[in-house]
Amino acid sequence: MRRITMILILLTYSFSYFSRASADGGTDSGGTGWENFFDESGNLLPSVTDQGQVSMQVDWMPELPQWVQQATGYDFEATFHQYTTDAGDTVLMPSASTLFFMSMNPGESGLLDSQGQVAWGPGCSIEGYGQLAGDASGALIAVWNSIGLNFGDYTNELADSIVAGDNAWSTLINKDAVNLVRILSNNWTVDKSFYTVMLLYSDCANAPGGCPPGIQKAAATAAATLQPTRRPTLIPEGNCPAPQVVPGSITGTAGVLDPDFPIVVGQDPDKRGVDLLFSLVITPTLYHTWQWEQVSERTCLLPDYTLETCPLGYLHGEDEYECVRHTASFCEAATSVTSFMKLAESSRDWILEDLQFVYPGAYLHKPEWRWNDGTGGCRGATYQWRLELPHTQIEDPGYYDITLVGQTAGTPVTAPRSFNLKAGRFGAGLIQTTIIR
Amino acid sequence: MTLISFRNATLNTLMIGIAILLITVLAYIVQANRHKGDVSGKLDSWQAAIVGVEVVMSTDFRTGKQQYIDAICAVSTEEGCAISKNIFGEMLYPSIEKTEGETICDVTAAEQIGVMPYGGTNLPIYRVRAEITNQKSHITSQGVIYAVVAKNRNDEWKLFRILFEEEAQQFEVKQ
Repeated sequence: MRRITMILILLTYSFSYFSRASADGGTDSGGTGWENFFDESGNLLPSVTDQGQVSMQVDWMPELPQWVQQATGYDFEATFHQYTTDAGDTVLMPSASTLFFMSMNPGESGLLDSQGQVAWGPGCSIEGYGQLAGDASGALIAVWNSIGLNFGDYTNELADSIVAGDNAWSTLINKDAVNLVRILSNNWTVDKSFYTVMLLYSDCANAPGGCPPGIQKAAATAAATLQPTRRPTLIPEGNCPAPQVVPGSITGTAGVLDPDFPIVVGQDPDKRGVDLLFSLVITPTLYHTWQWEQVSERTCLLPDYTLETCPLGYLHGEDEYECVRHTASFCEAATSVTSFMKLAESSRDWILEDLQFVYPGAYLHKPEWRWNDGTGGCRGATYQWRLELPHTQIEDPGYYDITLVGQTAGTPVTAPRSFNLKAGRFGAGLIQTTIIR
Repeated sequence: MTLISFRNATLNTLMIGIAILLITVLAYIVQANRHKGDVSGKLDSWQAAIVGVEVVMSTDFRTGKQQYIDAICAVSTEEGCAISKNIFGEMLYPSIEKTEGETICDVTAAEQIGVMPYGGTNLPIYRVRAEITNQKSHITSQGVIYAVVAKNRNDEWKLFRILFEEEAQQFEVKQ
């Protein structure tokens, strides 16, 4: 209840800024973008959907130790209160700690992609930053002010170095760890969910976390861009084919890099282990559209004549139109990939039954493995992810099946989807000795 | 002479037995209290680091966020409790909830590796070796967590905060 009250107070306070911003002019379409969310009295428009508090794993938040992530599947998440329109416009209100880490990674976090910002400083005064990307350093300082941070004499230096892409963590820790503690220990950020900044994204695809399910703003934008704005006068009757979406394929591979014939760690005097490589590729999602285009035209065979003045019999050729296909490619990134490696059932049976005769008391040491890490990114419109596991100490001999399980972020034209892929199999050997009597 | 030696041996055996019994009872009490997140009595700084890490990393999504935070606050300083609301309540708990996480953490060792200047004093930083067992997969993993401890208003050592991985790397470099 406190949270809702605080948001309503902030929205009410925001009215004067929105009115002023609208009066000042704004986007090419004649507005600032805020008018899609609020009426002239500062009330939320009925068409706006309150998505509530959303949290998501993002690369720019701090991390738990990698082994804890692997063991638990936990990681720190960014938290926002989110409002959206059906067209995909998005307003995000990051929590204070999320905003702090956004300001430490302004490019990666999407802070600089925001089309408009409103902040509430001490005493609920309202100020607009304008385009963050235009004066990024000044905007970062305003963000810090809004959450009560003061970096003293080196405020400008810190803002400039962060905007320049320097490692924010080393900057912060070396110079002022106290401020990190201060922002994390502010009780009011949790007790009252004190949101101090609203960030406007005219396309939800640019916002941290992308578009909520069911909202595909960029798809509409892409379609509008690809469709002809004015139909040629001489185009044939009939429509071109409807747009077509071809989702990219998701494939996973897994294999042994080295050695060629791995053996279990119990028989490996050097404890060399096995180097494993898991990889995932998501090919581009293709968005095909067709539009009428002129492929040939009539010409006048006589020089210095136009089509209108060309004497009869000297016109050559025809005005011909065809439905020409245009294709836009979108990268579909994975938001989570969990790698599972399991000892095959046949190998388990072999250890617990056959091997018992040779090694009485033989048992399964570690038949199941799981990793939650790995790195991935878009190259062009293809998403590539990989996880290298050097010197993995395999204790149980047999065949291991690797599966990759996860979720994608979807694309502007497709919804997020989950996957569960059999990525491969490899064997860890056991050297057996037979005594010949 | 033989009789005296026999009596000494019996006495020694008895003393060792009593000592083992006392240690067992003490360990049981500490263990029992540890899982309640309520450790009575004053702890040394290293014990505060151990208890703090175990409570933070022992999770059960079914108990809910408030109980998780309350357990952490019971072993933290006042400021550490406030920090935990942000770090573990706001930033981490959504992840525990989504994964329906259930973990048990046991610490095997702790060593002080440095200090963190804060508020005019130096707070000890401990490198804590821990084992986390995922109760869903039954896989146990081992690794290191960095914990900072401080004295609360009652002059008791308590958890101040767990360092982020990015911060831990900074301290590792300084070693």
